[in-house]
Amino acid sequence: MLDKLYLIFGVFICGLFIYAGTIGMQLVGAENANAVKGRTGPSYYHK
Amino acid sequence: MAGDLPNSGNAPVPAGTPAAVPTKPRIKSFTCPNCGGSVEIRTFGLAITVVCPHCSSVIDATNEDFQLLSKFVGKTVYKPKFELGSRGKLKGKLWEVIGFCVRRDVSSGFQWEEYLLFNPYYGYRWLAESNGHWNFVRTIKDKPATDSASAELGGATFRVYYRGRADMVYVLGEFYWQVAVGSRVDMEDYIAPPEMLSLERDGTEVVWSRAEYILPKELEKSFNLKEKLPPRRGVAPNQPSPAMSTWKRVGVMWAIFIAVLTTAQCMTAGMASNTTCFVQSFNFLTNGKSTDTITTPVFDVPKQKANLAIQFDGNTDNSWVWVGGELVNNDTGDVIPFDRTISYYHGYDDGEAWTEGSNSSRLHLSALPGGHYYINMDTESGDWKTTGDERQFIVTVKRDVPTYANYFWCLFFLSILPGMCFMNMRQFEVARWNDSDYSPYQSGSS
Repeated sequence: MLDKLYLIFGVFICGLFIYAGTIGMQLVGAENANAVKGRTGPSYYHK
Repeated sequence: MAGDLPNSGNAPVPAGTPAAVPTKPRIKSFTCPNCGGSVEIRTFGLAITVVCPHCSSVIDATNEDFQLLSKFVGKTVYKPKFELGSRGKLKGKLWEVIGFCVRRDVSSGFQWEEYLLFNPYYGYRWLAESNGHWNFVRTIKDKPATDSASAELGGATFRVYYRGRADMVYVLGEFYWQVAVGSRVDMEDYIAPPEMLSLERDGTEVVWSRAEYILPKELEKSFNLKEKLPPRRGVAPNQPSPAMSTWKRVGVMWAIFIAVLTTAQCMTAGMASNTTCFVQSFNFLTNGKSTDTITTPVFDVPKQKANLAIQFDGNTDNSWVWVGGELVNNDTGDVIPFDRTISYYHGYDDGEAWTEGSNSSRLHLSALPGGHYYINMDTESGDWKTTGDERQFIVTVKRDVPTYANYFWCLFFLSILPGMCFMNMRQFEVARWNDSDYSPYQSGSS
């Protein structure tokens, strides 16, 4: 039972890793996770 | 005689055990020469001795004189868990319990029980019990090749578990050798779960037996026992490890997953284009804040979706520069705020040189869509020797850079369960070898 669960988990992780590799996605601690729509802050001064 | 190791429930193998029964046994009753009680022999013609169920005296059963060989002088009377005469089917054959004995390891005092089984067509077998663990035992004619650490038989290697001496403590029923309370044998046990090889040596004969671990519930069902057998305690020497089989399967999968991950990582890193999109130096004021926001020219970020690295390099020397700002997508207006500090300190304290920080700081942006971007930045700095000077820092933007964080995170997540399985397996094995003088898990000093 445990080994079957691990098989599913492992295939999922490997698949996720390969997918993330193709689009340059960082799976943990991505620094642009807090991207916002629209211009704020200093960009406001960019005209 | 042969006995078993403490804690193993291993098998007794009396010397001269007949492999098959040459003559058909008969049932015979007679009067005990000691107490006058009625004694029944189920294997008359094969049994050498029989023990009176009333007074525990050992009686010669080789002829119809039934002479008294010895009287029972012990203080403790043991009750067998299987009634003599009870029958059960094991390994597809019907067996009758005809004898019962209790043995004790001389050095540790550990006791275990053994039950002699009989089938007129297949001869004798044993059931051995210790700590609630059971073994089904048969004598073997082949002599295993042994050395100080192991025994080999039929291509299988058995590891030495026990070497010692055992005394016969109590007997009941009938036996195919001259049984005697107090008789002593040398014993050796070798294990390869779920099997065990046992050697018994009594000075004149050497007998090997092969034991197979059997579950109590299987015995309860086979012998239709009304009372449950005692629960198992601890781990038997040849008890199959469920943790081991799980670990073997999970371990193989783990190795395959790691191989896949490593291959994918090598390919991803090798194929990363690592393209420089933008590089330019900018000024900042020492020990002060920027008065105007720095805005870079718009630069092109190729490829539909990939990571982006923005690196800040500054020549700091026991000082720091902070850069805060945002990456702006000129096409969509999406904004990604960031801040980075470049700080490098070094010195010499208590006779030792030290450094802290770096002249470079990198920001990784994940799965960023391609397009046209620019960066807005404000700066602040401190700990510089002079104030108000203009110094430079360099901003470099790279597209599709090789990274390793995903690889190590996936490695970590994939290793949690195998790690637990390994620890579980090891814990079981340590418990298995706990009572052995030959444990591979003992420290060198012990």
